[in-house]
Amino acid sequence: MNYYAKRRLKVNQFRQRSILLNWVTLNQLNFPLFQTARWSFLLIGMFYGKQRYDYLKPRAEEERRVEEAEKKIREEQEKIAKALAEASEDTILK
Amino acid sequence: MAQAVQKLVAKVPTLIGAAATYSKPRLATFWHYAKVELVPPSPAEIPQAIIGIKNIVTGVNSGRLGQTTVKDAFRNGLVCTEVMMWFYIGECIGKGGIVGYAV
Repeated sequence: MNYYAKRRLKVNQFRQRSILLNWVTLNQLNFPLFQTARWSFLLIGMFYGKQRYDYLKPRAEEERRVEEAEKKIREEQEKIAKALAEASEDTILK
Repeated sequence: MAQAVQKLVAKVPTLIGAAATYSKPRLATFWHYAKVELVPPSPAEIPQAIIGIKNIVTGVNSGRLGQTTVKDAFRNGLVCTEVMMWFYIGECIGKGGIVGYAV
C-alpha cells in the first residue's frame, strides 16, 4: 500500500471510531450535563429577569407620567368642548 | 346544615391520612429521581458536563447527528425542553412575579 492509501485508511478509521464514540455517548444520558444545564439556565434566567425588570421599570413610570399629563390636557379640552356644545345647542327641552 | 358541617369536619383527619398514604410512594419515587437529577452539580461533575458538550459539538460537526433514531431524538427533545423551562422559571424568580412584569 502506498503512502496515500495508508493515510486514507488511517483517516477513515479515525472517522469511523469517532462516529462510533459520539454515537455511544449521545445514546447514554449524561446526567451531570443535565444538572449543570438546569442550574445554569436557572441562574441565567434569574439574571435575565432582573435585568429586564430594571430596564422596563423606569420606562413604565415615564410612560405613566406622560400618560397622566396627556390625560389632563385631554380632559380639559373635552370640558371646553362640552361647555361649547352645551352653550351652542338650541333646544327648547332644557 | 350544622350537622353536615360537623360530619365534614370529622372526616378531615381520615382524608388527610388517605392523602398521606396515597402520596408517600409517589413522593418516594420523586425523591429518588430528584436526588439524582435535581441536585446542583458538584465540582467533580462539571468536567463531565464539558465533555458532554464537546461530544455534542463533534457530533454536529461530523454529521452523526443525522443518525439518531426518532426515539432518541424525541427523548433528547424532551430533555432540552425541560432544561429550557428552567430558564423561564429563573426569569419568573428574577422579575418577581409569575405572569408579566410588575412595573
